[in-house]
This record gives sequence, structure tokens and C-alpha cells, in this order.
Amino acid sequence: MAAVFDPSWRVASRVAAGVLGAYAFAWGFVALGAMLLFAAGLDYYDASSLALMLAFLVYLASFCWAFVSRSVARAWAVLAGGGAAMTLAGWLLSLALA
Amino acid sequence: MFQNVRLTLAWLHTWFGLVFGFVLMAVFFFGSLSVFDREIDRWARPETRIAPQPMPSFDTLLAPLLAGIEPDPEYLEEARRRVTQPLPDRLKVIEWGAYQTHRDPVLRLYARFEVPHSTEEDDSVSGVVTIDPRDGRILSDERLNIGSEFFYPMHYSLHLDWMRLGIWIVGFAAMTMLVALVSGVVMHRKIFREFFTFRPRKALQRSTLALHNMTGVVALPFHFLWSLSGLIIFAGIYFPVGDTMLERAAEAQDRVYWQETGLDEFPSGVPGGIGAVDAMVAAAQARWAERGAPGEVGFLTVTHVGQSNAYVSVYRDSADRVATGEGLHFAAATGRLIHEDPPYSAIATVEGFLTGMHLQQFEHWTLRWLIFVAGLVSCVCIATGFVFFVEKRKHRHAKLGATGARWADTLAIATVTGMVVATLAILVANRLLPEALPGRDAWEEGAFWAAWAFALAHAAARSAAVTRARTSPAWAEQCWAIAVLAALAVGLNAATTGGHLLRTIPRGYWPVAGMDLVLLATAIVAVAIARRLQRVGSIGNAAFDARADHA
Repeated sequence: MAAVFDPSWRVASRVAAGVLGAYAFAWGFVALGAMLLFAAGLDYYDASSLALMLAFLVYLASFCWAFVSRSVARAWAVLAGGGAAMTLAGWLLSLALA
Repeated sequence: MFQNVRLTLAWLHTWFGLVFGFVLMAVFFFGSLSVFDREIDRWARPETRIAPQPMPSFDTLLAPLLAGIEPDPEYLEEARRRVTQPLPDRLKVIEWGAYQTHRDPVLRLYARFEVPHSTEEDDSVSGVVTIDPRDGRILSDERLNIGSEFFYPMHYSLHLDWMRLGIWIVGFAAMTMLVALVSGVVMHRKIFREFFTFRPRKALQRSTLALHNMTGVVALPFHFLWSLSGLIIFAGIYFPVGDTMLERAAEAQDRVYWQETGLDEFPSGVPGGIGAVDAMVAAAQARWAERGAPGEVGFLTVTHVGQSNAYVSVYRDSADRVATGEGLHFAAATGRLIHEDPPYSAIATVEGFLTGMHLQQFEHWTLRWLIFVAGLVSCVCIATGFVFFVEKRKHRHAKLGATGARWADTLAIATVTGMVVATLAILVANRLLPEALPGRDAWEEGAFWAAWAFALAHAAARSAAVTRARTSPAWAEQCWAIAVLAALAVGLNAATTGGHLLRTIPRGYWPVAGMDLVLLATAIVAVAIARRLQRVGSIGNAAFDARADHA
């Protein structure tokens, strides 16, 4: 097998970004996705169930992307940062709607 | 991470596949067995070898049994740690339920009790009894339903219940399965050519890889959809948004539900009686027939038991459809129809189909067998992944004196053949343990874990061969153990219950006949594999020795 370009701490960071960063991103996707669909007039349970079903595909894509992204820092920024931003937006929307 | 995407995905496939493959092996193997969980229950509990029955009369048979259910002592003990004041001697019952499917000759009844002064919101404990629906006899709960109470929860929780740890591990393993499928497809772009290039007589490493690819491709939709739908079933646990940050929105929706349906969320506090539930069941069945979908009752609940606003919910069983269905709700006191669930929305239909497909409560034996076989194909795919991992490295590790291949092989043996050994051990223990043994269920489970631990120890003890680039003799030895145990299980079933194949096949009693036939097939396949392993192994080892001598 070809040599890993990254030093081992960076590989560990990629694994963490893939596992945890992607989870944060998927959580944000569920929170924001469910609330946008809810705002669009869907029943809450329909909205959250659609967001949840898609969340696993979002996690899958985010997980893989964490390993192929150009740099570890970028992976963390997009996944954890994006996840936090979407979570916040979803939460604010939920306060405005209910 | 590497020079290109393909190498990175190959790295992911190898390492996540190896580590979580050990979990996935258990998930797919016990998942496959769970397809026939009710049939395994019949084999393991001879007193329940009767034909499935429709739900018996609620008014005469079920109501007194439900009223007699006590909270489970174990749950009660746990609940005592959650309350701020001592629990009263008798807890107030809040819900009753009865559940069965078209494959159940026994009926499961439960009661849920309020836990007052709890630190948790809406806290409750439950008690469950299983009855013979013909006469209402309560079946002992010290007999293990090996299929539905042991293999099935093993499949999704590994029996690690603390903080739902097992469900989380299985969930991440299922995600890893999806990652392995995506990365596997990217790694092997000539995917459809691979499908036709299974060469069983080539060198072990090459033919293992071919079998890995073939089983991966041929059942790709199954691997993907069952992993995904398994995750979707527990989506509320993996992403509990409705109980946390979106609770307000969920509660607002619930208020709309209670208002629109006319059902009461909370007990009225005023005592009330319960009318003729059998008449409500008859009304529900008439309603289903009217809509062109007659059927039996699969699930019946009474909410707010003993209150003036109690209501009875009746659900049709799912023998003829994938998703479980809508219910009819009646006022318990008068039998007036309060609400009929509307047809599913488009999104609920998709979710109901995905989860229903995974759980298979429908009656379609061809599909049931296909799903069982597809689950075993997943197991072969994962197992050949382990073998390829070891085959690819063992010569190099033997030269370097490294032990990685040795330990990977040890764990592979424990999770491939060792798991089958443990599964057969619990069946053998089930037939051997004395009927009157107190805590018999715990002994049966103990036999399972002890056999598995023994298989792991055996695999480790015999693994030194791998460090000399040989095949571990434990593979063949455990195959022999499987053959002996599987045949023994069939023999013990015949000896202790009299339900042997010469009797079950002519009677057409397939739950037990099918189990015995699958056990016999397992024994035959295990013998064939053991013999082939020992033959091929000695050729391979001789070839390696010749090469080593030459060098």
C-alpha cells in the first residue's frame, strides 16, 4: 500500500473529523432541514423524518469527504463549522416557528 | 491523505472495514437469524409448537390477564433509583397492550405503570407476560425465546445496554458498511466484469478477493438498503432532535394531533369503566373489510386504563403489506369510534416501507428466504474481506516477524466460525439443560458467551501458524466443531421433544422442520469446508515451505 502523505497525528485528526465532524454536520443538516421543511408547511414529524432519512446519506458523504478534502483544517472548518452554523440556524428557526 | 482519492478510499475500506467488520459480522449474522426469530423460538420452546392463532377474546380472556400483570421486578428496582420519594406498593397502570404477528402462536401482553415522583419526565415501567392464546395459560419467563429475545437484540444492540452503547456501536458499524460499499465500488471500477470473474480454483488470495467482490456486487442493493434502513429505524436515537433542541416544535405538533383527533393526551383523573372491547374489534374488522382489506388484529392497546377518557386502539396485522398500518381508536367506555388514522403521507409511506422491509412482518416466505440468504451473502462478503486482509499480509509479516496478520486472523476466526459455534452452543444448551433449572434462560445465555470466549481462546492458541505464513488450523478445527454441534442439536431436538424430521415434515410443521434442515445443511457445509481447508492448507503450506527451502 502506498505511503500515507500525512503524519500520524494528522491521520488521527482526519479520522476524528470524519467521525465527529461529519456527525456535527449531519446533526446540523437535520436541525436546519427539519425546520426549513416545517416552515414550508410540512407536519413536524414528516419534516423531521425526511431530514433524518437523508441525514445518513449526508453523514456518509461528509465522512468520505473528510478523508479526501485537500487539508485537515478545511475538513474541520467545513464539517464542524458548517454543522454548528446549521444547528444554530435550525434552533433559531424553531424558536421563531413554535 | 494519499496521492489520489482512490488510494484514500482503499485505506478507509481496509482499516474501517477490518475494525468494524468484526461488529458487522455479528450484526449481519444475527440479523439473518432474526429473519426466522419466531421459528427459532418454536424450536427452543417445544411447549409453544402450535399453529399461529388469531387474537383471542379481549373481554373474557385478555382483560383479566392484563389486570394481573405486575411491573417487572428488574425495571422496578431501576426505577427506585430515579424517584425522589419511595414508590407506592401498587403502581397505577396507564396502558395495556397485546401484540402478535402472523407467525406467532403465542401472544405477548404488556402493562405500563406510572412511576410517580421521578426525575424523568413521563416515567414508566412495564411488565410483560407471554400467553398461550388458546387457553390463556401464562408461559414461564425463565425460558429463553432464543430467536426473538437473544439473537434479535444481539443483532442491533450486541446486548450492550448501558447508555445504549451497543446501539451506537452497531449504528457506526452500519455507517462503516455504507462507507465500505462506496469505497469498494470506487476501488473496483470494473465492477460488472468482477461479477463474472469468480475463479474458485486460483490461488487463495486471488480467489478470496474474487469472492469478496462478487458477493459485494451481487447483493449490493441489499447491503446498502439494509444498512441504511437499520440506521433509519433508530434515527431518533442517533439524532434525538425531537427530544432536545426541536422539542418545542415537536410538542406544538403533538398539541395539534391531540386537538384534531379528539383523543386525550392525559388521563382525566375520573375513574371509568371499560366496555365490550370485542365489539370494537369486530367494528374495526368490519371497517377493514369495507375498505377491501380484511385482516386479523396485530396490535391492540388501551390507553389511560381505568379512566373515564380511556381509549382502545386497534391495528391490523401486517401480513399482507410491508409497512405497519393505521389504527382505529374507540372510546373504551362506550365503544364510539373517536378517530381513524388517515392514510400515510408520502414521507411516512417511504419511511414505513424502508423500516417495514427491514423488519419483515409481512407474510411472504420466498422473500423471507431471499432476505435470509442475502444476509448470509453479506456475512460471506465481510468474512472474505478478513481472509483477504490476512492472505495479503501474512507472507510479508512472516518475513518481518510482525504479528498483525496473526491477530487479525484470530479475531476473524472468532467472529466467523466462533460465532457459529456459540450460536450452536446455545441451541445445544437449550436442549440439554434440565427443564426445571431455576434461571434457565441465564444458563442458556451463559453457554453462548462461554462457547464464544472458548472459540476466541482456541483461535488465539492455534494462531502461531499464521506467523509462519500458514493457514491457522483453527479454521478447520472450528468447522469440525460446527459440524458436530449442528448435528448434535438436531439429535437432541429429536430425543428431547420427539419433533424430529420424520414427524415434522409429514405434518408440514416447517418452523421446526426448517430449523433442523438448516442445522443439517450447516453440518454438511462445515464438513465440506473443513476437509477442503485441510487439503488446500497442506498444499499451500508445502508450496510455501518449498519456496522457503529454495530461498
